Amino acid sequence: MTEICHESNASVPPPHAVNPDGATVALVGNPNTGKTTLFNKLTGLRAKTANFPGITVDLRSGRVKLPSGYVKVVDLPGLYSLQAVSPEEQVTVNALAGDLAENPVPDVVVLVLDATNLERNLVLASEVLDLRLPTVVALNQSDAARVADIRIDVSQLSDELKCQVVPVSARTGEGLDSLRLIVDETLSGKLPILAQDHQSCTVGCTGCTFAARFDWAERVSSDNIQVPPTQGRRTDAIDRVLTKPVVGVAAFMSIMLVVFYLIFSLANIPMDMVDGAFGTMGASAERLIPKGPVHAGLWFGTVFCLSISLLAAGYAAAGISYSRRNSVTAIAIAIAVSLLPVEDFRSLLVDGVIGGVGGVIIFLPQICILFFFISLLEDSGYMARAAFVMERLMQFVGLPGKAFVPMLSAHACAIPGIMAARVIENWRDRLVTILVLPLLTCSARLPVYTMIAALLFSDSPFNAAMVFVGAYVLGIAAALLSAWCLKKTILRGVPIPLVIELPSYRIPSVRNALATVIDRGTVFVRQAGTVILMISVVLWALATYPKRPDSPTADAALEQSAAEEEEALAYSFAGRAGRLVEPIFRPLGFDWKINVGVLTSFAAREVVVSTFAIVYGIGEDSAEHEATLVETLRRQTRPDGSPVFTKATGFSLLVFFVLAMQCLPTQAVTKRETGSWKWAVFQLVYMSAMAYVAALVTFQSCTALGF
Amino acid sequence: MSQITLSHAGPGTFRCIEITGEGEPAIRLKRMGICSGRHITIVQSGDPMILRVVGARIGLSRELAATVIVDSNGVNTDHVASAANASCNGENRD
Ligand SMILES: Nc1nc2c(ncn2[C@@H]2O[C@H](COP(=O)(O)OP(=O)(O)O)[C@@H](O)[C@H]2O)c(=O)[nH]1
Ligand SMILES: [Mg+2]
Repeated sequence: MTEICHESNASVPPPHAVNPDGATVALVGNPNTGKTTLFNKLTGLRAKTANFPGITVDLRSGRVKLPSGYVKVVDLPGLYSLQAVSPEEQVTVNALAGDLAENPVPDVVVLVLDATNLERNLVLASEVLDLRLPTVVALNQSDAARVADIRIDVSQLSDELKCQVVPVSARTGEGLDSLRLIVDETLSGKLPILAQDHQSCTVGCTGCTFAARFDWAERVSSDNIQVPPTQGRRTDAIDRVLTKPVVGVAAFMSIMLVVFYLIFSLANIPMDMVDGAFGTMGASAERLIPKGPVHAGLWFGTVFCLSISLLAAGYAAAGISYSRRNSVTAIAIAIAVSLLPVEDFRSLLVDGVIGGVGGVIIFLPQICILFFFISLLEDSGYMARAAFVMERLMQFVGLPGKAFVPMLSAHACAIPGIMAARVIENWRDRLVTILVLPLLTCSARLPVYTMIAALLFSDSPFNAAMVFVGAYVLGIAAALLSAWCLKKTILRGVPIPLVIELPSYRIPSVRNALATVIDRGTVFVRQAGTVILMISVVLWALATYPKRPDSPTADAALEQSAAEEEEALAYSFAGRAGRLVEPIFRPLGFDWKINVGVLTSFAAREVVVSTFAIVYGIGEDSAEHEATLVETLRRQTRPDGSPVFTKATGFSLLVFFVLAMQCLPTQAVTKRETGSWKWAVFQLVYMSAMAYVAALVTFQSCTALGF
Repeated sequence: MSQITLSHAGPGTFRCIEITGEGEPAIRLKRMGICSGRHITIVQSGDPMILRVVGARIGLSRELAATVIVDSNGVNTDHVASAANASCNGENRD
């Protein structure tokens, strides 16, 4: 029964021959048939995410060795029919038509069918076979089919489909050698391409083009497959619990609670390690840079080479091309950096580059762990149930149930949340979700909340805890409300009611999860890392220049006192900007020093804590001592002698940080996922406006109430 | 032959007669097998409901179920198992 049929049916000349080297093989199939697993198995973990210009969908591609050369295998998004209804499905349809960003039609299509769910899969198969591309059917999950006692007559099926059918298991690897061989033979034209004549609209096709395909699929599967009546019992039994309205939601919440507990507890160790590593890096950079006078030429040469290599690495990571303009920019930056005085260079490297990048990389462990669990849940088939049970609740704000997991993920960090929003099929719904995700409380806000909670209620742990609860609730409420408003206004559209396949439960694959982690982690480092590198250098410059004319000399700079740090910051562009925008932020209760904090934390919120430490004159190193910082903040007074940090200011600041965008890496990812800066800018504008107005209302009403 | 919408059907297996909706929602139904001629078994009613059709479980919102017209005479329960199993043994084709 597992014999592969090599007999040919009516063959069509001319045989088509392609040099296997460099040929493209596309994996196509329904969702959950095992395309990604097959892809991972064929390519190992060496695949890379290809970014095609103009589309926001990531396609993974990798090289696979066939008997006569290497081919490029592409894992195309799953789909149920060539009549695409989501951006992902459209990509697959375009790829098959040769319309995908200058990519030609694939040289061979490997149609991945799930042997345990064959009748359903045959519908797409008939559509794809009708395209008459060189096609090989990989009858996947044959291990699971064997266990379930599903019997398939492969050679008869091959006759029926008029193409090669290879039973494989992406899980165990069985049949993969035959698959490689047959793909190879198809490429080199050894196997004839067969005349295909499928069912589509042969007889009585009125109205529904799918009806004829389903009839055909039913006939083919009933002729070739025997399914025992017990098939699917186990999944049914589990579903009787997990899809019930109340129990299902409770089960989902408990699962997510466990996942989040694991994320936050497991991530601690690697986060401390990252923190430590960047700390050590900063310290050794500080030590390596000479303190005394240096040979100008030698210094220039060294720093120039260092900067150029760093920029080259950045360009490579961000995928920037070496056009003339980009190269000139790089050289100009490198020259500018090399001309910096030694002590400025030291502070640029330590505070700007190492500190800035470290501040983002520290979130990498959380993101990796999050994606690991999401991938496991996805693989197991559970995520479809989660979307199913959350559908009713999410419909209140006009979003699909699938938006819930991205929203939960955003409570660790908005970036993985935005990346996870891809599961939402409808583009409008996906966009709304992406736009509101940064309102949810991410880990980067926690240091800010901690500071404000201590400032407001250091004497009452209960009230301080309520500050946190309030901030979380405010974030969630703001996100849901914004989603509702967006759906009612600029992103209006007919609601997309739920139709979702609930796949059979399966034991998830750790290998797939690791592949996802590597993939998503790379995206994060590339996107967030490069943006933050750029921005932290700019912010560093703004907070450093211009220097006070009487600024200390090179030797003294190392032991800059807290007071000097404060004065230097006040004199810099950032300090001046803080004063300049004072009239705008005064109604919020912010003085110019708070403004400096808001401005310098524009790229990353948590920076506000260390900025406060500097601008309020206790020195950056004291930022870690919360009590010192809070005591100092409490002592601050306005020109009229009244304290700056009243309850009203504290609440206003809290509300502002809950709602304001203040995270450029997130914006870079929004741009990436939505395909244009337009939505990233929109996100920034609407969130900032909302933060401003809400903080204004908070401050004014608190003041009116006498806090 | 009397017809009802799927949203009004009780538990049981029904033959789908047609989809009254149009455009993208209709395509999303049909490509999943909720399409004229298929047998649809209601596994769990409610909103959303769970169906079994062409050998797989489908979650479907009530709103869309209202656009699915089925034969109100459920398919004979002897055939439920075979319909549920993707009609593989070919017994219940009309
Ligand atoms: N038993 C078994 N499970 C498989 C096989 N291939 C994939 N799976 C599982 O099927 C599920 C869906 O696989 P995935 O590769 O994500 O499907 P895709 O949506 O087509 O990319 C996962 O739980 C896989 O672990 C296989 O050959 N045998
Ligand atoms: Mg996949």
